[in-house]
Amino acid sequence: MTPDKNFMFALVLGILMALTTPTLAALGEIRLDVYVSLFTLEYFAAKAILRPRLRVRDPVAITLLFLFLLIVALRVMEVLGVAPLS
Amino acid sequence: MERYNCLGISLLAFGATVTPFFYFIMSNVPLTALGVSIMILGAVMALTPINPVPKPAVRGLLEGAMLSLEGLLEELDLSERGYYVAHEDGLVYVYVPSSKAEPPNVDSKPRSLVVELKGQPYLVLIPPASALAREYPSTSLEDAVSTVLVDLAELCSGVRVAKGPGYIRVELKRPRGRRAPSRFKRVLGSLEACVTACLAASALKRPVYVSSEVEEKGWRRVTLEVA
Repeated sequence: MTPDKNFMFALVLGILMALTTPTLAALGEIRLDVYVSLFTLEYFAAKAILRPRLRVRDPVAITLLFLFLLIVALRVMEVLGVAPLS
Repeated sequence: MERYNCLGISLLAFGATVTPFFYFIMSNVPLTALGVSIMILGAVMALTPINPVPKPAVRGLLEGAMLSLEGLLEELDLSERGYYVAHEDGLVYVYVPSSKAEPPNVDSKPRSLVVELKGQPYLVLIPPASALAREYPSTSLEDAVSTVLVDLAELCSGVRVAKGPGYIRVELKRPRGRRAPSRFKRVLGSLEACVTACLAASALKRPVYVSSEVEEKGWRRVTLEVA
């Protein structure tokens, strides 16, 4: 029996995120953008490997990509001294 | 709506409720991140389609359709290669010539079981995976073939697709479909090749036929020619 790749995707993503959150918390990380960036990375990595089929065009990927770009833009602005993030 | 999807929506709602609470009231970033991760997982589960029909049942239906077509081909004594043609209704039809013939050039869907094109009679069949080609359109042929052959019918355990000029080579890992009857195989290819050709004709919107099939170390290499 071949495991269903849609279920595998949810399972792998759940395990990765369940490992990421306590690990970063244990390291004392208090920046939310670090967590969200890692979730985004994990989502796209799992999606690229397992290639799940979703009902509609992937709104989660679009949202995560938008958040990731926003985080990167804010970090770049912070480095340039335009608008500090925190 | 399946229970799995309902669970996903519940997780999404739970995550959306607790995340602002953790962030604004408790000011706890790790717990906020936990809420975000619950939301992501819930959204993924809510968007995941469920196969309500068991895979062996889908495979059995396809094999049953294959056997009935074998009977028809045997009765009419047809043994030339069939051409898979997708029509505007989304279904894929197979045009089986009575003798060796060029790929049919057809614009509209057939109105009868036998059609005559340029003086050549063709038997028009609806192959087993014709409706699946309509139900599972995909931007990538490999995705479509993998969805139907691996996820839906479990006819093989993996798929690789390579496109060349005028042909498509599909490699099927560990094909496990019932051995196709000889007449069906000669005209339409094996069941796996038949499904693949249906999806290719539907994706390319051009006539396709099964050119060759080779078995090698757990792999079946199917070559489809695009007419």
